[in-house]
Amino acid sequence: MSTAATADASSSGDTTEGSVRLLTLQSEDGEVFEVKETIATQSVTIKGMVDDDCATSTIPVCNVTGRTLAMVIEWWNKHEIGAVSNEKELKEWESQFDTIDDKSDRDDVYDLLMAANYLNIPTLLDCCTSAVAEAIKGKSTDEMREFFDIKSDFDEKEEDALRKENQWAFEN
Amino acid sequence: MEANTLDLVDRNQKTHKSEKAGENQNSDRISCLPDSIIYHILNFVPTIYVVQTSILSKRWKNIWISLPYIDFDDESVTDATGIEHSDDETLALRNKFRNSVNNFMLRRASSSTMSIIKFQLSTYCQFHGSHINEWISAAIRAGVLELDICIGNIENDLDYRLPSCLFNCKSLVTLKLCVDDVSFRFLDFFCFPNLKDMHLTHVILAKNFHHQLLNCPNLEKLHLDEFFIDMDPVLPSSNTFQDLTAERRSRILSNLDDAFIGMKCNHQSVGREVGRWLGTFIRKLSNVKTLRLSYASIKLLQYSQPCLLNHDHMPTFCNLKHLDLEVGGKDGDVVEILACLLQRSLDLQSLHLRYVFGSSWPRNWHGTLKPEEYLSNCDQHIRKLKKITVGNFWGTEKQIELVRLLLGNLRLEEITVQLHTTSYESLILLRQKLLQFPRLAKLVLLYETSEDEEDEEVIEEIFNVT
Repeated sequence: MSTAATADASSSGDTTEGSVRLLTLQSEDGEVFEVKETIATQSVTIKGMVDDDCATSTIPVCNVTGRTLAMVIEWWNKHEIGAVSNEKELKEWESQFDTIDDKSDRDDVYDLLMAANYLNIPTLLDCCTSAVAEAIKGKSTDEMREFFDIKSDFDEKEEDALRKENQWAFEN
Repeated sequence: MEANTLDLVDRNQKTHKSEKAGENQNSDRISCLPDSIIYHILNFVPTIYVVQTSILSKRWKNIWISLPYIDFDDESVTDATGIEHSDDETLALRNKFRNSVNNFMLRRASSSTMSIIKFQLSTYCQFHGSHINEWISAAIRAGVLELDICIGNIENDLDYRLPSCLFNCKSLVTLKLCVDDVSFRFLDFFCFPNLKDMHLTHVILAKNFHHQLLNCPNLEKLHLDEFFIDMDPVLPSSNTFQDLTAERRSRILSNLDDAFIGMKCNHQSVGREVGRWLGTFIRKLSNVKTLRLSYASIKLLQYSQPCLLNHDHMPTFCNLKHLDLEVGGKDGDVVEILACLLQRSLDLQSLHLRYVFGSSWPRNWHGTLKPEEYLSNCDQHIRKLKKITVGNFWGTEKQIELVRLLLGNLRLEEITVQLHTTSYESLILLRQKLLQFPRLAKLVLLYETSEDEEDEEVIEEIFNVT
């Protein structure tokens, strides 16, 4: 990763590297990252702050841990124009988010989803939501409950009634 | 998906947080996601599976009812694909599909006030026009932004008319309509103030279609695939739509970026009238960055005027960067129209010529210059053109001649030829023929090594300027 995390939270504000302005982002658990403005504005939320001149001091990224924020920054770096030579290479790199069979992969994707939603990063949001969608497709209700750890809070009667109500959807 | 469509899903809905954070954290994290993210996920899931989530738990019971992305297709609804079915199976499939869509739309309309962002139907089945119209009308009542309907066939195809509420739909941003087996009629008068993307396949358009398009001021992408034009006079509209004034009719589609004009036509029935109509239509598209023309469209343009180069109807394409032309496999007349388009597209960066099969048109060579002269004349105009690709090249006499002319008369970076031959022997022969021509541009040959589709590998050979 090209972005260095600095431990010193007080060095916030308008630092520059060459002609590129650096923004300071702080995660929920206090980790501080310096990121080029041109990269961070892939977040519609941050772009709005920059446009409104509100990005001069440390930007708190609530509800996002340092670990997740580092992943987000890695995503930004890969998606910066010119960072990878072709579309194919980018798709290959993105494919690491495609399978969420492991619980830890799933947790990463949920964390990224929440971050992408809060920071409004359309490309990351699309990537993570479609990974979860792929896991939903083709599963029976029981398989879905098992895969996603969903506990049914219906009693048997309620579930039967619901199934009957939308019978047309269960006739496959 | 664009970020702005997401805004329609309430971003402020409460996150369903697990009761205790930390060690006792709920491992069912998907149910804790906010509704907006769940809907975003379900955007990628066929609607029938979404309805099945209703019995997962109480959290999921009502999610499907307000679903903003609706997608019904044969495969997910009935496990059936496009392969042939017996009559009974087809009937069962059709009934199941119809019931599913009807049930869903009825329940949604009665229980949810949330707008539909996308309504997508894709089926090989034949439906009665009244069913299709009910679904479209229901989606429009729910303020649909994106309508994407692809249907196999329409039962009462001759009388079929799309619902009139469609044609002044203010919410629509994307409109895609396709009927596989028959052509359907688009209404004579229409107005889509917010439409950006119009994609129609197998449609019959009225003579005033290009004027009516000016009622879609935000149109960015226009794809008309396999369309016919009805040259009968358009009767004055009985409803609120008015035809445009002469001043407005002369305007062009100023926001249009990308156009595909896939006109269908069989040459016996061609009149100059249709060609001239197409000429006026193309003028409206003169702002595009990407333009693709079907073989029939190109021939019609050629038929409209004895000499294209002096042809006032052909506009200057100030912004055109990519031009994509279909060329008939045995057609030798392509140089003149090509030169005509190149001279009017000074910003052009890439040109793609794609050979297609199809009935050959009568010879129509009116050119006063030799083919070489047409091309060497436009060489000085096309300073930004770097690359020409010739696709689906199978090596008829005319095809070889065109590549010879391009190689010998245009100073470009490269000309790529994608060879499609039936045997290895003919491939070698073609390769030899092409290599003997003098070259002003680098020649790139692309071909597949094996006839076996399993282990096909594309070979790229590069030959420098001679």
